[in-house]
Amino acid sequence: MNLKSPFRTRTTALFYFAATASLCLQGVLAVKKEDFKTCEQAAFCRRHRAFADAIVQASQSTISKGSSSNLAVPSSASPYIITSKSVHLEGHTLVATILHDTDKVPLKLEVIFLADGTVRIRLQEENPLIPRFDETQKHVLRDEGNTLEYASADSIGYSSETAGQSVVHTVCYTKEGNNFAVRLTEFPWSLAYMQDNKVVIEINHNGFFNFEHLRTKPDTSETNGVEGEWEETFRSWTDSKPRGPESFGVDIRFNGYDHVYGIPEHSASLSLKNTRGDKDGYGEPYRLWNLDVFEYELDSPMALYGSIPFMVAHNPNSTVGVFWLNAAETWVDVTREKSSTLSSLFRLSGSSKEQAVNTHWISESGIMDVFLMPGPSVSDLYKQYTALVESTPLPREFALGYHQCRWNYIDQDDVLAVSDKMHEHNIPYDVIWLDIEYTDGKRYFTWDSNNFPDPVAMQKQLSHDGHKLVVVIDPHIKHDSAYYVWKEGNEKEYFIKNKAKTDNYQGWCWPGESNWVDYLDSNAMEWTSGLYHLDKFNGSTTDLFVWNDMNEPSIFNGPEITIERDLKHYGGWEHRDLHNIYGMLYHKATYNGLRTRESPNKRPFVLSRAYFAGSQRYGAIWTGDNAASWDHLHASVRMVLSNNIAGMHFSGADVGGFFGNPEPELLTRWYQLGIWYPFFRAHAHIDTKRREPWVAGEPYLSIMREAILERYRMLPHWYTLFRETSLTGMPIARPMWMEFPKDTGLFAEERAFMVGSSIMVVPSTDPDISKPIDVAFPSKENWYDMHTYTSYFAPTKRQFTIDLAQTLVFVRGGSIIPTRERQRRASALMKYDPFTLYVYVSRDGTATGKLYLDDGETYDYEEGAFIERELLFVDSRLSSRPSAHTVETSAQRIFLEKMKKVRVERVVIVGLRSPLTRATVTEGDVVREIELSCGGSKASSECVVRDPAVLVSNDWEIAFS
Amino acid sequence: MSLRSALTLGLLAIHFSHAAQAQKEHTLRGVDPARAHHYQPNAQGNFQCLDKSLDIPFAQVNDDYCDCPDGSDEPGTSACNNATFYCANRGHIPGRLSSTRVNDGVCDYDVCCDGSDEWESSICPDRCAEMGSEHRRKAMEMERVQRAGSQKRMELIREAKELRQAKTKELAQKDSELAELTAKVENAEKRKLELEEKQRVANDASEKSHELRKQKLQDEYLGDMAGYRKLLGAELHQLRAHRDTLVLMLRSVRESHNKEYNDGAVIEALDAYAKFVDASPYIEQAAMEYADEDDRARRERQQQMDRDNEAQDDISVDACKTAIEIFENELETLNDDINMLFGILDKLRTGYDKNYHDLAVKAADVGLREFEEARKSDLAEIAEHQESNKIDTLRLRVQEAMAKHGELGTSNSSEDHDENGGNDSQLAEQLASARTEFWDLQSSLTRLNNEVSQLRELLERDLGPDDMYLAAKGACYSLDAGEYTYELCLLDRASQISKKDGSRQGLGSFDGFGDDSLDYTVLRFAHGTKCWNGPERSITASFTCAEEIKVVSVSEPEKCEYSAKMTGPFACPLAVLGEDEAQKEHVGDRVPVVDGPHQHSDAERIHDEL
Repeated sequence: MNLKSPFRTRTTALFYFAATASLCLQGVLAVKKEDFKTCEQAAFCRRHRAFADAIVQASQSTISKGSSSNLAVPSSASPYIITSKSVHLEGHTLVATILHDTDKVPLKLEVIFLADGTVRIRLQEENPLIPRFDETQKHVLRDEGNTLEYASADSIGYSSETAGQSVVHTVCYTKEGNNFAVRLTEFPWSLAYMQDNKVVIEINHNGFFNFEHLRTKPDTSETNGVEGEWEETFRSWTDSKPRGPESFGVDIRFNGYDHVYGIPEHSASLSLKNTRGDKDGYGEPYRLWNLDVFEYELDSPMALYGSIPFMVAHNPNSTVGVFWLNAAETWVDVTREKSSTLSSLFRLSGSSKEQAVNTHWISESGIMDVFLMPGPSVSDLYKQYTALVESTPLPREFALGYHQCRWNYIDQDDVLAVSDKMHEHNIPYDVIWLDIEYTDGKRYFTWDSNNFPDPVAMQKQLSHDGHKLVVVIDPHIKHDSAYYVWKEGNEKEYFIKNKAKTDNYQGWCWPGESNWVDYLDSNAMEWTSGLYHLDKFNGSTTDLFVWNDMNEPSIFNGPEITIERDLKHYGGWEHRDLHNIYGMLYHKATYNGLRTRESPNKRPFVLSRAYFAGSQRYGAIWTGDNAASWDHLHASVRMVLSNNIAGMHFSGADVGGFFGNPEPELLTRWYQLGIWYPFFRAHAHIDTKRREPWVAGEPYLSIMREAILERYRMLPHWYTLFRETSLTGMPIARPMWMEFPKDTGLFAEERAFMVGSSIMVVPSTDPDISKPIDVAFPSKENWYDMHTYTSYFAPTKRQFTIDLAQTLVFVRGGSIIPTRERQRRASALMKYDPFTLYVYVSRDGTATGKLYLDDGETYDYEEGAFIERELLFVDSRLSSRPSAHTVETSAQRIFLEKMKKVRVERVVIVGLRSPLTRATVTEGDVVREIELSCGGSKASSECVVRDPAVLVSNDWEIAFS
Repeated sequence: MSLRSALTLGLLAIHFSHAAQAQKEHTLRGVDPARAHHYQPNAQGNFQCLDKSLDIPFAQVNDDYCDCPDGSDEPGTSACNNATFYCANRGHIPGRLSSTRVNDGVCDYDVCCDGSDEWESSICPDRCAEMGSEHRRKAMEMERVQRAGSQKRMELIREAKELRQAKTKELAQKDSELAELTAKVENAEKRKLELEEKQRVANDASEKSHELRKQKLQDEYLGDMAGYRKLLGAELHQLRAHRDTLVLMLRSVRESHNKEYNDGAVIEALDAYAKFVDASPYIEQAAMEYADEDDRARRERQQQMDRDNEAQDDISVDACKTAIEIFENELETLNDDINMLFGILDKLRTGYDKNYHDLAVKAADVGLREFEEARKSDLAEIAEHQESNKIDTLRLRVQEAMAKHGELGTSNSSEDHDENGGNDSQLAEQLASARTEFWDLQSSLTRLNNEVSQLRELLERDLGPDDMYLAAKGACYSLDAGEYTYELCLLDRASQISKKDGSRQGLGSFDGFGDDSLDYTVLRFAHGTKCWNGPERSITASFTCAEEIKVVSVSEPEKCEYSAKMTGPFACPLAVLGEDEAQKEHVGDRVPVVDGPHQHSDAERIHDEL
C-alpha cells in the first residue's frame, strides 16, 4: 500500500471503540423466546386461564362461607348447566343440552360409548351461526372415524337419580369383565368416568368448562378487539379473526394419579411438571402448535415441531388416557392435588381427598371432541388408542438400519466416496441422505446438474451394495413460473389462499418467495402424491425415499416462523383450524406417492419433522434441530420416550447433534445411545466439521463401529418389535414405568429406558467418565449385562463406572432375543443369513421370545407371507412354534420357499445354574444329537449350541440335559 | 512338495471319485492356493486353526459355522466375520475378499470377477474374460500414461538438478557480494558519522546559523521522531487490517446474502455500507487486494513498507514531520471508519432475523464476535508495544521538535542565510550526500540479505524426492469451476477467484506435503483467508500420475476446507517399470483385499509365518 494514500480530514473526535467488550461471546445457542407466544400473548389462552382463575376464586369464597363442598366435588361456580330433561340415551350415545346461564346458546353434548370401554365426548353448538371445523377426525381417525366399534345397545344400562339439587345420570356397561360407568351430573354439569366403581377421569370437575359460541361482530367500535376477540396482534402480525372468538376449554382431572405423560412435542420432563403455582414447575402451559423453533431450549413447555394431544396418566393400579382430537392451537395446564393423608386415614367417604392431576385443555377453534380411555393395563390402553388412530405399520426393513445424513453431501462423488469409506471401515449402513443443496435452487423434484449430473447412476451404484438414498423434499414451492411444479400447482389452484381468498398466499423459505399446497383439497393431495412417481420425478428410482422437512410449515417471514392463521384453505376453512395436521397431510401425500409409484406397491419410507396423532401411519419423525451438547444427548431420551408414549414410535434424535461440533467422546456416546432409538440417523449442520465415524480416528472409530454393528446384529429383534407394535400399538422405546407399573420409584425415571420388554438401556450422558452411573434393576428377576453376561439379582441398585468403550445394556431374565451375527454392508444383504438365538434364563428357569420376518419391503405379509415364531424355553427345552397369526396361504408358501435354507446357526443360553451336557434336536421326524459347550468365553453360566441347523420356518425343539 | 504330501496325493488319486472331488472343492472353497496345504486333515483327522488356537474336526471346515477365532476354518463361507475369501479369477488376477461379502447377494466383481463369491445362489456369471481384457487394456493405457509421466518426472528432476547447481552458485556469488556490500555500508556509515561529528563541531561554532540550527534540531530530535513515526506506523498496520476485516465482512454480506428474504436489518446495513463505499471506494478495493494474504505474507509486506518508509521519511526532520502528520491523520480516519463500520455490523447483528437462516448474515454475526476478540487483543498489544517504547516521552519530544521546527520556519530569513559561511553549506551538502549514500547502500544490503536468505531457504527446504518440485515451484495452474476459478501455485499459494468481480480469497500458502511430509503426491496449503464462521481456508491437493500438470476438480467437503484433485508427474513411478511389475503395481491399487483393518494385520501375520 502506498503510504501517501489519500486521506480525508475529519473534524469528528476520535472515538475509541467503546461498548464492544460487553457484547462478546453471546454466541451460545439460545432460542429467541420473544419470537414465540406465551399464553398471555394468545388472547384465547389468556381468557380461559382468567376464566379458570375466576371460578377458583368463586369456589373458594363459597367454601369459606361454610359450604360443605370442597374441590372434590364439582364447582358450583360454573355458569354452565345441563338443561333439565334434555338428557337421554340414543343407542350407544347419551345426549344432553348444556346452557350458559346468561347467553343461553344451546350446546349439544354427546357421550358415545365404544365397545372397548373408550368414551368419546363431543361437544359443540347445536346451531352455530356458521359451521365449526369438524374435519380433523376425518384425517386422524382410523377409516376417517367411520368404523369405530360402538358398544352394543343391549350391553348398556342407563339410570337417573336425583341427588340433592341435581339429577345424576349413570350409564354402565361391561366389556370382558371390566365394568365401566359414566356419571353425568346436571348441576353443576360434570362427567365422571368410572372403572369398577371408582372415578378415574372427570370432566369439568373444577368448572373450567368455557365454550365461546360463534357470534356476529358487534358494530360498536369499542368492543372491537376487546380481549383480542376480533383481532389480535403479535409483534408485527395481525390476525384478522373474521369469525371472532370460537375457543373452548375444560378441565380434565385424573383422580388418584400423580403422574401424567405424553402430549409431545416438548423438551419437557418425561413425567409432566406442573405449569401453574409451582416454583419447580413451568410458568407456561404446554403448548401444541407445530413450530420450527431455531435452537430450541431444553426443559421447556414451548411448542416444537409436532403435536400429539394424547395424555397418559399412570398409577400403580392403572393406566388411563385422554385423546383431545383437535388440530387448532391447544394449551394444556397441569397442576396437582396432593392427597390428604388425614382424610384418607379416617376414610371419610365422599370427602376423602385423593391425589389427582388436574389438567386444563384450551383450544382455539373447532369442536370439543375428547376420548377417555380406561386402560387399565398399558397394553389395554394402547389397544384402545390404536383402535382410534392406528398403530405404526410395519416399516420397510432397511429403515431400521443406520442412516447417514449431513447437510450436505456436496455432490455425486462425495456421496459415493462416503459410501466407499463406510465399506472400507466395515461400517454397515442402509441409507445415505441428501439435504436441500442437491436441488436446482431449492426447486424440489429437480437436481443441481453441476453436482448431480447423473443421479440415477449414483442410485444404481448405491443400490448395488444394498443401500438406499433419501432426499429432502420440502413443502414450500418456489414461486417461479418456469418451474413445472409451481406452474401446475398454480394453474390447478392448489395453493393456500390469502385471507381475502383473492390470490395465493406467499411467504419466504429456503428458495425465497414460495407457495404452499393446500392439502385440505383432496385433489391437491393426489397431485402431490403423483409428483413422486417415477415418470414425474426425474432422476428418481425406486431406491429413492423421501424426507419431508419444514412442514410445520416453516415460513421465515411468518408469525412465529410459521403461516398466518387467517389464511384460507379449501372449503373456506381458516388455517387456524387445521394447523397441527398440516404437516401430517403433507407426510401422507408423500407416503401415498411413494407407495403407489410401483406395482405391486411397496412400503414407503418418509421422514417428517411435523407430526400429529396419526403421523405414525406415514413414517418416521425426529426431534428436529438439536445441538451437539451433552444436555441434548440426555434430553433426547425423554423426547423419544414422550413420542413413543403418544404412539409416534418410529422416532429418534439426530445422532451427534445438529448444531455445533461434538467432541469425539460426545459423538461416541451418541452412537452408543442412538442405536437404541427406533429411528437411528446421524445428521449435521452445514457449518459443522465432517463427523462420519472414521473422522475422529481411533479409539472412537472402533467404538462407534461396534455400536453400529450391535444395531445390525439386533435387527431381527428390532423388526420383531416393530411387528409387535404394528399389532398392539405398544411403544417400542418404553419408559421404565411401562414395564414395571407398580414400581413407583421408576415413574419419573427419564434416563434408563426399555427397548421392548426385554432390554434396559442406561445411556452414559455425562462428559465426566469417572462419574458413577446408578442403575436400578426392577422386579424380582435376573438381569444380564448384554455384553459380559454378568447377572444381577433384582430388585437391586448398583453403581457402574464404565470406560468409553463400554455401555450399560441389560437383558431381563426370561427373554429370548434373535440376532443375525454376520456383518454385512447393509440390512438388505442379511436377508438369507442364519439366526442366533440368545436365551436369557429367568429366575424360574424359563424364557420366551418371538421372531418375525418377511420380505421386508412388500405388502405380501398382509397375505400371510411371513414367518412368525413363538420361542419358548421351559423344562430345559427350547422350542419354536408358529404364532397364532400364522396362516397357510399361497403367499406364505412362496415366501417359505424363498426362505427354505434360512436356519438357526447358534443358540446361546445364558444364566443356567448347572451346566448342560447334551442337546437333542427334534425337527419333524428327525432326531439328532448336537454339540454343546458350556462355560463359554464370557461367563460360566453360558452354553452355546453349535449349529443346531434347524430351519427358521420349521417347528423344532431342542432338549437339554 | 514334500514326499509325504506327494504320497498322500497319490493315494487320494487312487480313490478319486466324483464325491471326493466335490468334497475337495468344498473344503478348498475360498482358500488361497498358497495355503491349500493347511486344508487337509492332520494325523488326528482334524483341522488346526491357522492361529493354532484350536483343533477342530476336519468336517467343520467350510461348514458355514465359525469355529476358529481367526476365521480360518471358514474361508469359503460368510460364517466368520474375519475370514478372507480367495477367488481364482481365471483369466484375470486372483482376488481376496472379506468373507462377510460371500453369499450376500452382491456380485463383487471389483474383486471377484469370476462371481465365485456368490457360489450359493450362482447369480453372478463369470466375467473374468471380459474384465480381464478390459483390465489389461486399462493397464496398458495406465502404463503408457505412467511411462510418459515418469519421463516427465525424470525431466523435472534433471531440470531441478541443474537449477540447484545454478542456485547454489548464485548463492555463493551473492554471499560474496554481501560481504563486499557490508564493508561498503560500514565505510559509508563511518563517513557519515565523521561528517556528522564535523557538523556538530561546526554547529557549536555557529549556533545561530539557520541551517545549523536546523541540523542541530535534526541531530537532537530525528531519532526520537523516527521512533515515534515507527510506532504510529505499527498502529496503522493494525488498524488498516481491522478496517479491512470489517469491510470484507460487510462486502461478503452484500455479495452472499439472500436478497429474497428482504430482512430490514440487512437492507439497512447494506445501505449504510454502500454510502461508505461511495464516499471512499478505494478502501474496499484495497481490502480486496490483500484479502487473500495470509499472516506471514501480510507481515512481510508491512515490513517492506516500513523499510521503504524509513528510507524516505527518516532522512530529515521535514520529511519525518510530514510523515507523522500524515500518519496521525490516517489514524484518525481509520478509527472513524472502524467505529462506523463496526456500528453498522453491530446494528445488523442485533436486528437481523435469525429465523431466516441466512448463512451469510449469520457468518457476519460470528465474524463480528471473533473480530471483537481479535481487536481487543490487538489493541492491548499495540498499547503495550507503545508503552514499552515510551511513546509518551517520544510524543513530548516530537511536540518539542515540532515547536522548534516551527520557530525555525518563522525565523528562516535571508539574514540567517547570509550568516552561514560557505564552508558550512559545503559541509551540509557533503553530509547530505553521505547520508543518502549510506541509506542507499543500507537498503541494497537489506535487499541482498533478503535475496540470500530466500535462496538459502529454497535450497534448504524439502522439495520432494530428487528436488522434483524445484523446477515447477511457483508455477500456477487453474480450473474454471462454476462461479469461481481456482488457482494453485505449486509449493506457493492457492486462491479462489470470483468470476463475478474478480475478488480473491486466499485458500492458503504451502504448508507441507501430505501425511506429515511422507506423501509427496499431496500438497497442503493452509492459513488462507479466515472464514467468518469457520476456520482459516485451506486446501489439500492430491496428484495422480500423468504427464501434464492439471487441476482436475476442486470441492469443498466442509466449510472452507477445500480439496483438489490434480494430475502431474509427481505421482508417477520413478523408473519406467517392466510390464509385469506395472501390472502388479496397478492391481495392488485397484483390487484391494477387502477386509477389516483389525483383521488385516492378523491375516498378514499368518501369511508371514507361513
